[in-house]
Amino acid sequence: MTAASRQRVAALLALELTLLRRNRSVYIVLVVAPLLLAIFLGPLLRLALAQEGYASATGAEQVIPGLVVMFAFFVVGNVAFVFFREYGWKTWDRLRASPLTTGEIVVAKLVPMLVLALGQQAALFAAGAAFFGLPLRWAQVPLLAAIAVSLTLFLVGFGLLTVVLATNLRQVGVVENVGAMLFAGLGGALTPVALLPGWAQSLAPGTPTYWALRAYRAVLLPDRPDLGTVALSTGALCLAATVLFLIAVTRFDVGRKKVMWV
Amino acid sequence: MDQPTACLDIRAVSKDYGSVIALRDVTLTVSRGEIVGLLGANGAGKSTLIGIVAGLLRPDRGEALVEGFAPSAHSSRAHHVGLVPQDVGVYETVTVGEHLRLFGRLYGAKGERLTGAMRWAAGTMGLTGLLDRRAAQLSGGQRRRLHVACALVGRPRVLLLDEPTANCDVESRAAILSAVGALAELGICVIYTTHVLSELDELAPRLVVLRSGRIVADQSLAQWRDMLGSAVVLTFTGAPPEAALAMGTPVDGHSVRIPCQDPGADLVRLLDQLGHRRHALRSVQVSRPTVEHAYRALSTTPAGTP
Repeated sequence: MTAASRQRVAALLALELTLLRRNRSVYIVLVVAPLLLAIFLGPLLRLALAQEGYASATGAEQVIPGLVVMFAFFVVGNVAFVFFREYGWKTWDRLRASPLTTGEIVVAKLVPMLVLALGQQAALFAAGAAFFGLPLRWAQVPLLAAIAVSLTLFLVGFGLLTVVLATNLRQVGVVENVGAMLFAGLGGALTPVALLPGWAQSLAPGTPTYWALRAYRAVLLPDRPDLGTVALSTGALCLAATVLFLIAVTRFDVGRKKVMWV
Repeated sequence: MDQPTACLDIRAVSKDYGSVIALRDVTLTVSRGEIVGLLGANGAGKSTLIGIVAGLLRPDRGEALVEGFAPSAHSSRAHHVGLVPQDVGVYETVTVGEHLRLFGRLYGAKGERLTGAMRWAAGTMGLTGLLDRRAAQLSGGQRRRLHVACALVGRPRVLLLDEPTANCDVESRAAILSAVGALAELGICVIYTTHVLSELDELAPRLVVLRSGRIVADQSLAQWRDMLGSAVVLTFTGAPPEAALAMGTPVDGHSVRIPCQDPGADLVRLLDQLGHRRHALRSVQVSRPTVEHAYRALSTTPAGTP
């Protein structure tokens, strides 16, 4: 990467961070909403964990990572938004006509989304420990960070592929909302997978939520610092993320006609 | 390496959209400091040509070189092109100063050079007092000027203006037209499209007319003015006298249009020739060819006529 290229990426990155800082509604959806939901789901999931055999669990070991993976999915919509916003504000052609290359545009737009997704997960775990009785130890942090990174890479890759395939934000909204609910339900974010119907249990491994939650539970639940499960799950997420990025990058067409709204 | 002789060199460019011909064998060379008024009806190919020069579209055949750079050298080439698209494109929650900083940095400026370029672009477009204001808080005319300023801050060699004054107030239109003239004097090559042809009278550009994707005329406005000629229109209280009709052609029941090269000097001679009948004159109107006259003449020129 040349110095000129670094300067261009830094300039667009600065713009993206400014726009992100001024769009406060994002933080309400990504952080405040799941914490509100945690208040109501906590007691129920404590019982669910007890039924699974974790009698001493506070419930936060399920509700916090569950809501983390469920609401992290909304990053997909944010990834799409930072691209479609350019069509809405009619600035996309202007960026394309500038010395920025397509790769530079994509990098400058995705880095803030990586930061946003990781920041969201960190904030939810911190709030879980501070207010919901999540038993968190410093030794667990590197493992949680590894899981968060792999989940984030998957979600940002999924978001980029959504940008490639969608032609307007309404389509993205459908993918984002249905995807978040479906993956949360099947992946065990709302109810532990062990308590799901048989058909749902067989579909669960097809969702990213399942693998992320499996890894989070392996770290957080008592007596289960299962490194093998963490490695397998993060590996699966990273592999899926790689496939998504490869498809998205090879199919990215900067000249395709798109609109923000229809 | 030899310096390119032309700032913009479009060579036999063709572009189709499916079965629709957008451009066909368009060749155009534009020098530094030259203003080209790119005219044509909707769908004539103006925006496609601008898109190709800006690097947004790939031609099916031919190439458009900017300062000698081909489209494949995207970043180097783009450094020399400032694009002002037809629709105003600004970041609503970002200030004027932040816009100028962004585009200045994208075009490689930093430090003192960046500050100078921002100050120059803001000053040129009358935005100096608005640097801390967000785009959403600007008036329509101010947004349009910011839209243009974003293209200037990179100090382009080729400025592509696609209907830059659309929906502008009088002040903003005047600021943009004044800036275009000043930029050409700095050696910037300007491609200007508009449907408000009176704007081009002020800029006195070279007129290039596109019709169905082909260049059907390419002459300077001065050349067209010479060809079309000026005229004096004499209007009488009653029917025009025989002496007046002998000098020109009747326009209606009261007026006669008399062609002349120098209306100011020729008018005295015409009045002399009318003798005592000049007392029947109700009004005298000098008619000079405008861009609109030229465009009408040019656009009726058969395709292929130089």
